[in-house]
Amino acid sequence: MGHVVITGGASGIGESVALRLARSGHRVTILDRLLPEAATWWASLPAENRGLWFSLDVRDSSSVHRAVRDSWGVEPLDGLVTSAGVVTRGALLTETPEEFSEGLEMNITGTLNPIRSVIELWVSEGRPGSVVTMTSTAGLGYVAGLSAGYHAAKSAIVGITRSVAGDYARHGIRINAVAPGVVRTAMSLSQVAHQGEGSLAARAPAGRLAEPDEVSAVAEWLLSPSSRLTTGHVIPVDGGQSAVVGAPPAGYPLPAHDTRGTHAFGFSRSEKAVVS
Amino acid sequence: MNHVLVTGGASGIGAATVQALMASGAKVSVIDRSEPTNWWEQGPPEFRGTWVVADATERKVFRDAVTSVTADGVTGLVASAGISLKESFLASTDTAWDDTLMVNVMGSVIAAQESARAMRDHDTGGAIVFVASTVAFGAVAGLGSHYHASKGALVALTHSLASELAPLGIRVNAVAPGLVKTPLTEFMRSNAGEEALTARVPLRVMADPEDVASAIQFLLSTSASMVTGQILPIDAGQLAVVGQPIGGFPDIVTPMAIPDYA
Repeated sequence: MGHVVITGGASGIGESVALRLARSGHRVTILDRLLPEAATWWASLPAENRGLWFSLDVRDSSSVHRAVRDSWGVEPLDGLVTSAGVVTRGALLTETPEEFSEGLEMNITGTLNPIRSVIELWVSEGRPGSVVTMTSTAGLGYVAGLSAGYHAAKSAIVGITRSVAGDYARHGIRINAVAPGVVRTAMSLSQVAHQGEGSLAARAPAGRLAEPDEVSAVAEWLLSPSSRLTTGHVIPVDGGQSAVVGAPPAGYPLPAHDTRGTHAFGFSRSEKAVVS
Repeated sequence: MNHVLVTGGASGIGAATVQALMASGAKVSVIDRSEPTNWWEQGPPEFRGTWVVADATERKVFRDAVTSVTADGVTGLVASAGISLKESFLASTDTAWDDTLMVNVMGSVIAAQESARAMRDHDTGGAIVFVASTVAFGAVAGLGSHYHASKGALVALTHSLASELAPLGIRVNAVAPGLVKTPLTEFMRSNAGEEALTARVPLRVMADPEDVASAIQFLLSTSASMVTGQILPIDAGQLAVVGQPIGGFPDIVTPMAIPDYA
């Protein structure tokens, strides 16, 4: 069992990561701009899985730093998942300079701040750990409908992941990025409402949107010792979208089998549950 | 119950994968050029499928083996049969190219084709994992050019099959191991020494076959239900590095000739 800090854990992918890790027996601590009352599930988590909740702005390095130190006081940290972020839709000419700057601050600085604070403690305490960052298919290539600032920020997260992986590997610290495609979260619902689910789903061979838990399953694997030889890498969780250079003109047909249900190899409990 | 075919399951990554899958409660079958091993004979009977001896250099025999093993259905394929021949490019022979491409590429193609046909015919969907390598993304000194070319082909095959087989509910991914303690890398470990080899990678360790097996298990599992067409490095950070490895490159034994175009 481990103690994992999750930024942006009140909703969306972060919420899903928190719930999945808590179910596996970990203690989760949340850093989010929202209050814990915004997440109805938080109060019902078993006490041993409930760490602390800090309502803060991830752009503010000193409050992030204090939060990380305080959560370490509850139990030393084993993992960090940086899923706080904002999305700006549109394109170069519709994204204002203010939106561009705020997006970079939220997504880049807001990712770097918790990583810096957590790794500082891991290095000084001589403790290994695993970080999972959230990039996007927009960090790997062009995704229609998302702004230049969002593409820039998510590409930057790939760079941060590689740089930190190289520098801190000698301390037993791993860091990898997850690159989700279109995930069924509140953040993507406006896009779904605008474009219709069908056209978004047809972007990927899998022919459907990802559920948040399919992203957190990959994050959980990256936190676990089963991935102890994987660092500095980006794992797309996108139904094959980034493996495609040219999609069929009419998009992909719906698969005959839902990959969530067939060939259900589980992890053994020990592999799934232990962090770092 | 899940039924997984592992080619090259007698040793190295394949053997570790067979054992990990059996431990997780899947029925496993093996195709290998070697006879069944002791650990196989002593393995849990309820998870032991069939073991067929076939060499991927014999195309017809190998295809028949895959067809017979998958006849009653298969939900997973791990194509880990592979060879590495240590010739320099200038000295490489047609035979070495034929054998390497035959085993590493065509062996994976045949195993994937017959397995995917079985998944379609039994209407089960499934997951396929190829064993690529870090050599598909850059030069690794000491491994032959034919080995590099064959692993590069598996990356392209992963992309293509992920797209083509998605409508059948079949996911296709690959792992890209760096240096793993297997018989295939024994010559490098004894020649260069493990210290020189681990100096290439940020985490400063060589992978055990079990590390690759756990990644393969992850890609087969429903935890990876939205992951297809991807290459997962198990490389201790090797591929995240561009340029000089920690500790520097070793001295060049034979200085490169500088062509004189004057």
